[in-house]
Amino acid sequence: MSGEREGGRDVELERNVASRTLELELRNAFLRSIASAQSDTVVYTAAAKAIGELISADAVVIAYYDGLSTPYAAVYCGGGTRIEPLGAEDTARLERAASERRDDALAARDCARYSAVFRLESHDEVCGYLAVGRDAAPLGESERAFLKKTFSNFAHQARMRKQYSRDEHIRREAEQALRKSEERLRTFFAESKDMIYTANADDVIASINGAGLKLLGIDDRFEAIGRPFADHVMSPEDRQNFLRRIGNQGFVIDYEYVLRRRDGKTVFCIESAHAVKDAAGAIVEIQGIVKDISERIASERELWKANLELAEANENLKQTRLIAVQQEKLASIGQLAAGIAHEINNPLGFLNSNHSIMTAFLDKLRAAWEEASALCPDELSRIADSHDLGFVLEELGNVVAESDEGFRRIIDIVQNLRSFSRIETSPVMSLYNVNEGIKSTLVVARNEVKYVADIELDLGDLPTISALGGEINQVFLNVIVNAAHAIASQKRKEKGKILISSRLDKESAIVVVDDDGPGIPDENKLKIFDPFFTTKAPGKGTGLGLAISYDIVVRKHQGALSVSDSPQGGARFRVQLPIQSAASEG
Amino acid sequence: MPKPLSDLIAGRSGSFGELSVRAGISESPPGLCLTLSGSLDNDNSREFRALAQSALECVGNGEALILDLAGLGYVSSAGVGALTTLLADAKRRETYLFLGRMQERVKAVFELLGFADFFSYI
Repeated sequence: MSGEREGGRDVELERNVASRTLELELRNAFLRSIASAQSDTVVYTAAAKAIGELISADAVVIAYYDGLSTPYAAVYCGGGTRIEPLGAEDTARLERAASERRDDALAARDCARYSAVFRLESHDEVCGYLAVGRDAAPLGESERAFLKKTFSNFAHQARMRKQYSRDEHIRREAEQALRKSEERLRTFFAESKDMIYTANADDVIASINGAGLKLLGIDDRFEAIGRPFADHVMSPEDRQNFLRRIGNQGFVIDYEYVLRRRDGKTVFCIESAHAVKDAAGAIVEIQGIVKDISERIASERELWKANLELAEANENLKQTRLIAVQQEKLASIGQLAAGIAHEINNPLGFLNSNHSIMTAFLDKLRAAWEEASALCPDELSRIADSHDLGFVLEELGNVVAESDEGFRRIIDIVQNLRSFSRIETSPVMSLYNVNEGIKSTLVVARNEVKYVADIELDLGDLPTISALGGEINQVFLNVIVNAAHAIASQKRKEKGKILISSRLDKESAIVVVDDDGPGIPDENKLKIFDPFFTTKAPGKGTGLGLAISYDIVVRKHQGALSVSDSPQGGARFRVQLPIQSAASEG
Repeated sequence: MPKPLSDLIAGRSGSFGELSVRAGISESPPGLCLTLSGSLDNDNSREFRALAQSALECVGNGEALILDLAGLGYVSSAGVGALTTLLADAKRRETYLFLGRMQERVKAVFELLGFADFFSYI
């Protein structure tokens, strides 16, 4: 084509100029389109139109791939442009036509008589196809060479365009995903029912959501932001412990602590958090989720409490059962004792009465005998000698005295039986000074104690209590005399020690009597409050003293009487008396 | 024939995460003493309870299980739950359980949960 001239014009030169101009225009258009983020549609339809007009083509099709590698066709036909999707069959036909290089192999979109198809290749990548169709005449070699040359450069632009489209597509998708992700996170942060917060390395709150503010009882976000998280924790040491853990492990799971709300109320919470660290491993941020577990704690608390109360109820039941058994024994024996006391009391009454009369009569007889002896001394002396009346009269006094003692002991026993079986009229509760009661009892017990033991008193301040004072004194007397008898039973040279102490314990007065006697064997501790149980020699004790004492303290005063080993080495009796005692005679 | 306490405390010490437990004999009151240090929480309350339970079974009549809590700096509700369960077990066995030298902030959790009055302290 070199040197071809038409009417004085250098046709080849003009064509080269046009080709170069088109090439540059296309390149500029592509670059502009990328710079101004124009779409594939705009760029390729403009290119198709420019080519069509340059070579007077009836149809131009530029097949290209978008960012998702989906093939499209930018069509210039009949002076207008449009975009059509291409199927796999279309691209296959274009590929075949480009390979076979047959002018009639493919009429551009079947709207022209002659056509030529070029493959747009760059870096061994097929970037698309250019199909040109013309009705007037087939493309000459020079036109073909022109198009090929022009579009070998165009292929580079198309490839760049494809990459750009792909990058754009990826960017748009990433932006969209990011927007969605941010929206999700924003919603998650804002709508979460749990506190979500971030804090800096010094544990100063940097951000906090609405649930967090609600949990802290704060309305204004900025009253929380900028302040140490520990300000809201009941025990700041718990927060220090949390920070130590997160510093060591980088995370904390289900760490429990108590938050103190602004209104002073406390809330049980658990927190899971992790630390964001820099390249050097230093914490730059703490991100945590805090959950209010008050309801869970409340239900667990009820469970634990029920378990404890059940165990205590079992314990109380055992104690109550022991007391019930003891009281049942007392009641049975009480009925028996009441019957015996009643039966004995009447004959004892007239025996004692007759004994008194007989004693008086004997005194009268003795006086009469002495008067008669003064009148007839010889005769009566003879009679007295013959009947050994001197000895009789002397022994009669001893017999009467022994009978007196016998009657006194029988009366005491019956009295105890009557007391034990509550035959007597119920006394009335009145104010009673426990310490004074102990002191007055010691006066009564003095003769029993003074030769065998020294008494030490350690009496604390006690309020007056509501009690049956005389009966409580009887309890103290029983316990103290028992201690003295126990010490005396050891027949030791030195005197023993009885320590009596009193103190206030919540709603009760406690009196403890310790001795340094032989103590009580374990097997006897269970029986010591049983009626008629005694380890004393026959005649020394009725076995009713502690049983009566138990009845007085436990049943009548709702108190407690127990025995254990004393630190003094002997026995310890502990009397517990409620300060406000309800009299019970059931 | 019950084993003496000195034979039984072997193997009743241990470390469970943030909690360490050391067993020893208590002279007054007589019994077994578990010295706790660290944290008693959800991560180790189960192991602690198993250990304390076995210690409880070693304590004889008239003896006590004492928990020395001077070194216990943190207790969660799960820890309080473990101790209340242990107390219930002790009551059922009619064994004394005493808590000793409890830190104020630990006691505050007991009080907040309403269990402080259930325990006996030495």
